[in-house]
Amino acid sequence: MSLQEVWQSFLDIIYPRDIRCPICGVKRDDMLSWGVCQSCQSRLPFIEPPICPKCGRMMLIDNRLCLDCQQANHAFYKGISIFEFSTEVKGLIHRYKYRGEKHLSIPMIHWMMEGLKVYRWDFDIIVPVPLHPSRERQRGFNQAKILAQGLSKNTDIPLDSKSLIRVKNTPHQTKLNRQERKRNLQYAFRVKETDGKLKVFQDKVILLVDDVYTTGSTADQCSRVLLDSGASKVYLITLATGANF
Amino acid sequence: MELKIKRPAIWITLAYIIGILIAVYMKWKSNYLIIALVLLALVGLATRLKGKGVYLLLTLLLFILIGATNTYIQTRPDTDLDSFLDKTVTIYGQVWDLAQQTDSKTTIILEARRVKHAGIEYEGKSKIRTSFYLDPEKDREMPVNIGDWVELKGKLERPQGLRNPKGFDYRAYLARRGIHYTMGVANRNILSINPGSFSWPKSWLMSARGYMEQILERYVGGSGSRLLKAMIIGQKWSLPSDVKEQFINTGIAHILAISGLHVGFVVLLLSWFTNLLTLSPKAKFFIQCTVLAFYCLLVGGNPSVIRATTMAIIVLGGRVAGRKADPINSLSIAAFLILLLRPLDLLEVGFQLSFGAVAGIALYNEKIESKLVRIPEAIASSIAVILSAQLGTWALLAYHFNTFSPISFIANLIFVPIAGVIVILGLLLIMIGGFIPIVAKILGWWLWLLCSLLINGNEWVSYLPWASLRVVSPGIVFMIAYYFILLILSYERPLWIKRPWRLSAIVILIILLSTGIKPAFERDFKIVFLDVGQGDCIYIRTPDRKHILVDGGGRPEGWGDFDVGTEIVLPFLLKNGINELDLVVMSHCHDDHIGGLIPVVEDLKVNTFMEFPPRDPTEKYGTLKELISRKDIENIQAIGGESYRVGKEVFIDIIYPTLDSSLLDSLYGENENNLSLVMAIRYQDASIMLTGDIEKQVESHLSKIWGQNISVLKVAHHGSKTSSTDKWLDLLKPRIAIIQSGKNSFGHPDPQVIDRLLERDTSVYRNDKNGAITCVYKGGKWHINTIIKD
Repeated sequence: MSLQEVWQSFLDIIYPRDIRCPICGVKRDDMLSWGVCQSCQSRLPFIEPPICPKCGRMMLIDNRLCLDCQQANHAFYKGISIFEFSTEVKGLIHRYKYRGEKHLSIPMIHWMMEGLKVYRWDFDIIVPVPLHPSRERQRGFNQAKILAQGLSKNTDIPLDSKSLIRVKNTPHQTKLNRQERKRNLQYAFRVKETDGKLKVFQDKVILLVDDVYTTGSTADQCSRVLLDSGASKVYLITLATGANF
Repeated sequence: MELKIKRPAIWITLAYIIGILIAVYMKWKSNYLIIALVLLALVGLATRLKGKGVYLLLTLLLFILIGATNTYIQTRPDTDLDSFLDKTVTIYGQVWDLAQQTDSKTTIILEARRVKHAGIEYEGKSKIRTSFYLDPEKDREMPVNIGDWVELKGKLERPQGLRNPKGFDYRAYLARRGIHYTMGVANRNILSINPGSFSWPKSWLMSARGYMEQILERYVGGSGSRLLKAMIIGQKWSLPSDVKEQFINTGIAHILAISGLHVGFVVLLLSWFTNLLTLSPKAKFFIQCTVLAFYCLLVGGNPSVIRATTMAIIVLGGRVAGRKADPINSLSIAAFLILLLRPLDLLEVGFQLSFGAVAGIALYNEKIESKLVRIPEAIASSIAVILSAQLGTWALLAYHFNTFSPISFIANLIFVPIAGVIVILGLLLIMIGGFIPIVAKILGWWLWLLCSLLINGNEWVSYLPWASLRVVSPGIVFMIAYYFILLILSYERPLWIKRPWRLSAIVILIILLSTGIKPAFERDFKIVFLDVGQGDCIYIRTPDRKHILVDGGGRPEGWGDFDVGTEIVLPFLLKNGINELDLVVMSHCHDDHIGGLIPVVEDLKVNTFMEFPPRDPTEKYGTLKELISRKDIENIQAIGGESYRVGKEVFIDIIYPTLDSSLLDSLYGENENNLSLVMAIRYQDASIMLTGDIEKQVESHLSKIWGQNISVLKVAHHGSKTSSTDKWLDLLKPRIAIIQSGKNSFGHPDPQVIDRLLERDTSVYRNDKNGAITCVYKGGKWHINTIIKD
């Protein structure tokens, strides 16, 4: 037993799992093994085909690409997402990110794994979208990193959460439009070559992990930086994406 | 067998509690413990638990053992000063805390450092509950302050232990607070007082408290500030006891305890403050924990505040660790922590009520609120909280205080919101009182208004009819079954119990059967000579369960404010399941016989009252008679020669006073004692003579008219030398003699009387030495059981 495991089982005594469904908050006995109840699982807005083969968003009609992807030239190779960004999912992600309910990452990781299993992508490294160090300190954690850690553990593919860094403490994206987002993020990310290991991403296929995909600016900026430092391909997985019709 | 433990903390805490109970009730006979543990282990092996099950069982056994060991270690009695007991000693020590203040008495906790008596000296630390008897005319002021170094002279005593069946064990109560001795000091025996201080951190806490008290006194003042001191800084000793009593009677005493509301508000202010600083969640959590711990210490660390603090810290910690707290689980962790620090808090009413209320809320609040759909949400949610808390506490209140308050729901609905505002404004006042005097003045005015509203409003409510009913204590089987049912019916969907309602019905049936069957087994003739201190009080139960009370003890006028009736006799009756008396007998009208009857007649249903009318009635007699006519109780004037049958087989033969009035005139001698009812109570072959306070004149008269031996004699007049003459005793030849006496200055019982009895081979039992004496007549034999065994 590692120290981390001891700590986790200690936390399990103080904060017992599986008593209430973390989504609907009701005491239930139809809990699924990833810790949510059956009825929430069936109610959540999972993304269903037809989806855009580029960014993974749902489309109204089965086009070749979604309207957005037809115009924008996304830097990542392919992306998928699990949920539509409904009010309920929005609330869930808000609780996860801003209310410190890190335990929600457990079902989230499970759902993302399910998505990955369908696509059978081949990748070498998992990289979360970084937070600026000062924001990470304030929040206490990086929501994307926790998801990436879970995916890495489940796939046995290594995680690199140190090399891609955020150098600009940009304001929140939420209130900005597409153009402003792009400007906001310019030169925000950088690859830091640590431990004397040069070119960690050279010729590597990368899975980029984030919580929400809206306009794709963040994913694009990160992907561009990763490709610039030698990566051969960047896949993207996010938990939720806004509909785009 | 598949095991799924949802909340491990509950099981750990329960196991630990079982360990405490084993240590307390088996008095740590380690062989019992080992047997119990081995049995448990065998049960585990027999049911062939595998894997997880074995670990679970071992964990539970481990915690039972930890519970028992910890209790044993923490409750080893302090016997350092035993050699000074009942001696007048000179003590040098520091005033550790103030305990109580009344008009005639101030009580402090003294930490003795040096104790001297007749050249023998002890040095060390021992806490002594010390009372100063004040002259209400002269010295109104507090004689000492906290922290003072004092030198005192007084008699060192051991606090009274259990004196009556199911009575109050003062010794155990103090021992749970680390106090093993008491001392009474006359004001003139304070030899020296020097101001002193404590070492850190107590000094710091003391000055913080002092500062807060000052602010409350300056801006609120009067009874309002005393209420605020109790509600906000947990300083209860200055709150008048009648206010406390009214709060208990209307069921809102919980607002005097510092609990979730306070901690919640402190957390709210704290998170607002920490949000101003850009700190990492861990740093915030650290600050919050520190401040909460400080607040906990500041207000005295009662179970309710430790509970609330623990639960708050678990919720806050959950935000850092990314976990969600579960109230029931957090509640058991809080219980475990408190009992780890002080295992015997388990037996404290405050601990039980605090956890009962919160468990009720955690289990039932949501359920009740979801049923109240037609009522506006704000009202519905407070109704749900109050009802669910009362589900968790009413049985405990009935068990400990013998009260049930039908009005308490309404009282809570009105006063809890007011108390909430008081707490919040009070905390604000303390925080800004030192800086912004104008705002503090406005706050202080509002607080004064609200406190007056609370005190006076509740006083008014407590006088309403049906405000508070006297009820008998539920049996321990009932208590366990009730809380068990409360727990299993709380499950949304059955978890480990298939049909909760059916199981509950079975449990209820078992209780009903057991309470119905129990009296059938207790069909012996039983007499309890209660220990009421100096005074008479005799309870008799006939085999067909008629209840008789002869006298009720009492303190003479000017002996302090201790009420024998409400403190000893009523609790004895109610805690032993008696709320109706078929017959109450007054032997004669003196205070030490009828004082305690007044609350009994007032609060219980009494069918018949028996007396011989006094010639020189006392004030208490007037009160009693007025009560009897008001309650329409049948009043029998008994006279020598009559015989009454109580139930089927018990007879009361009245022997004295005689009908012959000229004879009575000559025996009376201006002494009410000689008008005492003398009666022989007969059941099968047994006879008991109750003699009141008759003196030798009456005895010699009775010697002429009485000619039978008796088995039990209540020795006349508390064993005074003016009674129990040789001739009288030779005639009665009692096998058992009971002397009802306590601490007194009359020299009761007289050694000569005891010698006279012993010479006749009579077994002598004394309330002052033996506590209550229970005599049961069973199978043609008397079985005597005393509370204090020698």
